[in-house]
Amino acid sequence: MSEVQPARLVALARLVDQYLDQNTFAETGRLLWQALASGSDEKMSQLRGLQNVVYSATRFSDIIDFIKNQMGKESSKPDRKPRWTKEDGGEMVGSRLLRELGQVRNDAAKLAAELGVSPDDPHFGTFPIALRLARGWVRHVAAHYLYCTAKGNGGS
Amino acid sequence: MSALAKPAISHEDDELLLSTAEAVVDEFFQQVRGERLRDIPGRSQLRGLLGYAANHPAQRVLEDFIRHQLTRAVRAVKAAEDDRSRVRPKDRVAVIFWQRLEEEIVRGRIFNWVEKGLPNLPERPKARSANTRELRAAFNKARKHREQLRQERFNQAMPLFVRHFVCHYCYRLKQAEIRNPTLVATEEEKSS
Repeated sequence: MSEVQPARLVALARLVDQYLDQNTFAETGRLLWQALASGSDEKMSQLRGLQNVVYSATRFSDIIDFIKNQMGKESSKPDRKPRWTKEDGGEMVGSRLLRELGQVRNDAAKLAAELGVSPDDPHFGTFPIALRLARGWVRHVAAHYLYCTAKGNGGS
Repeated sequence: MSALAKPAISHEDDELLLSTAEAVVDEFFQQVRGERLRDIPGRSQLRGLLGYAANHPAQRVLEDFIRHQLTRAVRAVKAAEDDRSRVRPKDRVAVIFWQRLEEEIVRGRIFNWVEKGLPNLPERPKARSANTRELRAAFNKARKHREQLRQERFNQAMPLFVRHFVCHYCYRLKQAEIRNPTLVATEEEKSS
C-alpha cells in the first residue's frame, strides 16, 4: 500500500484547485435553486442533505445513490411540484447532477494519471481524487445556490 | 492501518457492483417497456428488499426475500395457467424481475465477483494414496475456509449491490413515470 507523500499531496491539492477554478458549476447551482427552492418555503433542507452526503461519503457511489434516491422517491401526484425531477432543457436537474458527477469521476482518472499514480491507489487513485473533486463541486453548487437564494430570482 | 486504508470492498469493486446493478435494472426496463410498465414491482416492495438486505446476511436475503418473491410469482402464474384463466401481467413481470435478480446473484456478475476473490482449492486427494487421511483433512480444512470466505464476500457485496440496485430502480421508475404518466399505476392503485 502506498504511503501519503507530502509532496504528492501538495501536487494533488494544486491540481484539484486548478480543476475547480476552471469548472465553477454556476449554472448547476442556479438550476438546483430553481428546482428545489424557487417558490418553496423549504429552501435549504435538500441542499444541506446533498452537502452532508457529499462531505461524509466514503464511496463515490454514496453520492450517486443519494441523488437517484431523492429523484426516485418524489411523488407522482399531479398536485406535487417536481423538485429533483424538474426538467430544464429536456434534462431533469437530478440527471444533470449525475451527469456532472460522471464527468468529475472521469476527470479524476485524468488527474490521477497526471499525478503518475495507479488508478487504484488508496490515497491518490481515481476515487479518492473523485471524492475531493465532488466536495469542491458541491461547494461551488451550494455557493451559487445560496447566491440565488439571496437574490431571490435565480438570475446569474 | 490509516484512515484511508483500503476498505473491505474497494472503490473499484464498488464501481463494478454499481455498474452491474445499473445494467440489471436497465435490461429489465428494456424488457418491460410499453404497456407492461404498469405491472412492474413498486417502490414499496423494493424498499422492503433494501431494508432486508441491510439487516440480514446475504444468504437469507436470497432465500427469504428474493426466492420467496419469485416462488410466489411463479405459483400465481402456474395457478392461472392450471385454471386456464388469464395470467395477470403483474405476476408474469414479477417472475421476470425476481428471476433476473436471482440469476445475477447466483450465476451472474455478483457470483463471479465473489468467486474471483477466493483462493483456489488444493487438488482433491486420491483414494488409497499413502497419506490419504492427512491430505483429506487438509483438503476439508481448505474447503471450509474457502466457504467461509465466500460467505464473507457475499455478505459484503449484497447490501451494497442491493442499495445500488434499489436506488437505480427507483430512479429509472421515476423517469419512466414522467415519460409515460398514463402507463404507470400509482402505489395506491397497485395496493388496491
